[in-house]
Parts: sequence; structure tokens; C-alpha cells
Amino acid sequence: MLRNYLKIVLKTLLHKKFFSALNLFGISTTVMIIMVAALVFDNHTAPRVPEVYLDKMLFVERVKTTHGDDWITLNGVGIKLIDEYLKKIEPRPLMCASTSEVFELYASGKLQRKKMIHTEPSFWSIYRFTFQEGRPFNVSEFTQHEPVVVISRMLRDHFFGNNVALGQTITIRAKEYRVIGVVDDVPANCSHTYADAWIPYSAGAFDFQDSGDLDGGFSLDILPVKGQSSESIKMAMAESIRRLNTELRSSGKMVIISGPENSMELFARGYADHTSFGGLTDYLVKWIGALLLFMLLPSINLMSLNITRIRERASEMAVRKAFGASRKRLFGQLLAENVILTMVGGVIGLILSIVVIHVFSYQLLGVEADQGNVVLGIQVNYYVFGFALITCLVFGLLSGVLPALRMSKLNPAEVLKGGSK
Amino acid sequence: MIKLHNIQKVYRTSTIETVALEQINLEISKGEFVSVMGPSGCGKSTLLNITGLLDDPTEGSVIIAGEDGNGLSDKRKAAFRNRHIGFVFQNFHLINELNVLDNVELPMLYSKGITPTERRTRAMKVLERVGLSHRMKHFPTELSGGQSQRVAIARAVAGNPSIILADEPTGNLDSHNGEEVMQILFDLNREGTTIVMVTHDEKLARQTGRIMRFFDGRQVL
Repeated sequence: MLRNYLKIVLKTLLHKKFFSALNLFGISTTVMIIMVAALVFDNHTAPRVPEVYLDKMLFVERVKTTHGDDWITLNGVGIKLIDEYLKKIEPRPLMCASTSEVFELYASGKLQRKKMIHTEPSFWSIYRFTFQEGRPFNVSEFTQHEPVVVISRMLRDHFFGNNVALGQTITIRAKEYRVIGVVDDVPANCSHTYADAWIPYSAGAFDFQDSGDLDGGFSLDILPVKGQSSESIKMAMAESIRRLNTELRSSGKMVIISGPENSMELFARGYADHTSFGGLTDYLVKWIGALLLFMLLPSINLMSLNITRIRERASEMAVRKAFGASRKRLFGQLLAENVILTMVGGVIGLILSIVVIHVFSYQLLGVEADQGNVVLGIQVNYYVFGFALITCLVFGLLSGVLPALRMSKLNPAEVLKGGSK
Repeated sequence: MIKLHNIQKVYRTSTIETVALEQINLEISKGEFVSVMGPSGCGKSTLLNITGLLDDPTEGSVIIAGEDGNGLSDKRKAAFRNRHIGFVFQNFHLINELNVLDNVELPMLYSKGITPTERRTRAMKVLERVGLSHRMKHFPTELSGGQSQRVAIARAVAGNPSIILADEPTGNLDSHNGEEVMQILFDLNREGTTIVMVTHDEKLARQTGRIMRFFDGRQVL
């Protein structure tokens, strides 16, 4: 039976080449866009080495300060705010403040832009790096402002080739650092950890701790401890901010922080209004709604194409009915054909999405091309492949149900009166 | 074998009511070859469709092989048609996307308990019988009118039905091909198949066992 359906699908595809091309173009393009969107989403939110706890983590990345009714500033988080307010919650989760800088490197005959993360020792407990050599920097080195650095394998190869890197010195942004560790290269889609050098922020070129501002260039990464809920952290931080705002009342200032947000909310805010710190769940719902609408429009289009296509096959349906196919059976056949057709479109869409991801991976990940030989790490995984399959199935069902239902109800006597060979 | 009792068929639209069949009472015995004749629009094809359970009468009952067709669900009607009735149409109505062999196999796709191998063997056998075993891998668009109708007959008998309903089976054929097709039908009838054939051809009708004539939706003779 399935062989018969497959034959019909194949013949219909070859018989109506223009229709088939149009049909497959519509399906494959839609699937491709959805796939790419799903991949980008997955690559921003799914845990992977070294961000293995990404699904449990929270982040505070932005601070909005209102200065009376006059003006508003929007910045990253300042160390003072982190140390004196955000970190003062109980029970205390694992937290690390980080910021990043770009440095330039002349490699492979061209100038490359690399990223350096300024952070603190707890960074190495929150994220799980694979050390090729050495170790991460510790609390003592951090508090002593020691100029130590952990570098990526790529950077090690660049500076030292096959020689031992540990204990050697490298110069980044005109400052010398002693190499204490070498880690596996981090994929560029790991937005919280991707870099080629990691140094204690206390040893950086700028004296971050003395700035004394509530806002600054940092973000705070938070990993709840066992048994601690995200909600309790959010509530505790909200309480800290309330306390801060009480203290600030006389100055006319008021501070609002983003979140703490989970990776999904962070992703959504990246595509939303940057100044909006609330209603991100609503935004996600709208995003999913838009995705469904995006699927619905080609489905409606495909449905009308299907109605035309199936109408042309009225004679075949009537003959099948005359020779013993029940309404249910015909409905099943037409639906199966449509799902097969959509699956073919889905496979093409999947291949297209892989091509698009490889060609446009820099743009999709927001990585600049002059960062050189970065590990991109964006790939189709089983989860996304499953998503694509389900998308195709929903697409096939959406566009096939109505035409199939209409055709299965046709009166064979009327169709068989006339018709052609 | 076939019993139509007090059949009436009325087509209604919002403005017009057309009576296609009125007060039809007829009986066709097992193994009969009956011709249905009459001018265009007299209700011959409607009668055939009602007899084949492809259409429902507005009133009256259709009893075939002892079963009242009116009371059957869509699913049971389909199964009943599959088991008892084979159709031959004037326009052949072969499925162009399937080759000859697959077209002939079609009724058996919907039969229970026939394996794919058995289906293939039976289809090949009936194609051999209608003299088209050499064309089984061809597609309907590659066949002549006579060959198409012979494939259509092969398809009608592949499921081994006891009744064949043929709607002007020679209507689109030249005399030579028409005679060949009729010969196959006569052979089938001799083997015990009940055949009801709608035709405009008086000469052909006279060769069958009985002629039923219709005019304006009524049986006149």
C-alpha cells in the first residue's frame, strides 16, 4: 500500500513539474528558515561544554539607572553593584562577574581580533573547561592581582607551537601575563565563555574594582546551588535592589536590573527591545506565535495548491472509491501522500539549512569574520533534527487535512459520469 | 442477484428538482447479461451507479447478493463493492500515474487477506487473459483505446467479483476494438459473471440475454 502511495507521489511530482517545484520550494524554504531559527535558538540556550549548566543558570547583564525624571542610563553591571548588593543574598549561589575585551593578533598573515574574558575564580567552577595543561587561576592569584592567564589551545599553538606554554609570558594589550593553563578551544556559540584568553579581572589593564559605579561593563553569571530555585534567587536579588533603591532615594536615582534572566529570556531579549527588562516570557510566547504564523501562511498556500492538485485527481479518487476504498482510507492515502511530499521538502530544507548554517555561521553567531580560525560549534543535533521532522509533519498535516477531507467525501458517481482517459 | 425495489432518484438544487429515476422495479438473476438502453439523460447511468452502490437512491431499496445496500455504512459499502462488483467505464478511468499492472492490482489493494505476491500473480493472469501481458509495464497514456478498455476490464475482474457493471464499455472504441471488448465480456458471462451493461448500440444489446429500455427515468419495457 505504501509502495503504491510512494509511486503516486513520485509520479505526481514528476508529472506536474512546475507545481512540484513550487510546492517543494515553499516547504523547503519554510523548513530551512524554521530550522535555522531553531538551531540559533538551540545554540543559545542548550547546555554544552563548557557551558554545561546553561539550562540552570541565570544572568544579570544590564542595569538601567533613572536619574529623576531627567534621563536614563543603560549599561552593563558595575562591580560595586555586584559585590555589595547582588552577591549579598542567602543562600549564596555560585556567582562570577565577567567582562570581555577584544585584542588583536597578527596570525596566518593577517590581523585577527580575539576575545579576552576578565573574570574571577568562581568562573572555573560554574563552567567546565577541559584543561590541556596547567590549571585555572585561584582566589589567591585573584586577590593578589597577579597577571596570570589561561589561554586556548589555538592561542598556545600561535605563541608557542609545540613548546611548553606553562610559565611562559605573553603580551596582550601591552600587558604581560604568565600562562598558567591551556584549555580546549571554546566554540563561538558559547556566548558566556567563548574567548582565547581568560584573566582575573583584578589583573586587567583597568582597575575595575575602584570605579565605584553601580553600572559598568560586567555581567553576573549565576549557578544555583543544589536545592535552590531560580525563583528564590530572583526574589532575593529583587530584595537587594529594593534595599539599594531605598538608600538611593535621596539622590533621586533608581536602579533596575535585567532579570536575573535564564538563557531563554536572555536570547529573547537579544531580539527584543534592549531597554525592556520585563515581559520576556510574553515575548517568547509572541515569538513562538510568530513561528506558528510563519508556518501557517505557507500551509494555507500549500493547502490551496493541494486542493487544485487533488481536484485534478478526482477521477482517480472516484475509481479508488468504486473499487473498494472507503472514505477513511482515501483520507489516509491523501494525507500520507501529503506528508511524504512534505517530508521530501523537509529533507531538502534540512540540507539547505545545513548549507546556510555553514555559509552564514559567522553572521548567525554574531562572530566577526576577522576573528580568524574560531571554532564555530554550530551544528544540527538530534534535537533540532527531531524538531525539523515534527515541523514537516505538522506542515504536511496542516496543509493536507482539509483537501484530503474534501476529496474523500466526493461523490464518485458525479465524477465518473464524465472525465477523461 | 440484483433486486431494485421502487427506486426513485431526484436531484435537487435550490431552484430545480430533476427526477432521474422513478418507480424502478427490476430483478436480475445470477449469471444474466442485461443491456440497459435508452436515450441520453434517461437515467441509465444513474441506475448503474445506484446498482453499484456508488450513489444512493432518494427512495427505494437496492438488494444485491441478499444484502440491502441502503443500510450499509460508507466503509461496508466500499468493502461490499470490492467483494462483489467490478466497474467498466466508457472513459476507462485508468490511473495515469500507475502502470498497467498496478492499475489492475488496484481493487485487490483494498481486499483483505491477499498478499502482494498473490495480487501480482492474479493481475498478471487477468492481463494475460485480455491479451495484454506484454503491456503490463506500460502506462495508460501509452495504450490505444481498445487496449485501455481491456485493461479496465482486467481491473474490473481482477478481484473476482460476481457482478460487472459496464457503462458504455464500447462507446469510445472503433468497431473492431468494440467487438474484442464485447467478446471478453461474453466470455466472462459464460463463466458465470452477472453483467449489466449500459449501451446505445442496439446491435450489441441484442446479443445480450435481456434488454431493459428506459425513457425519462422510467423503465418502458
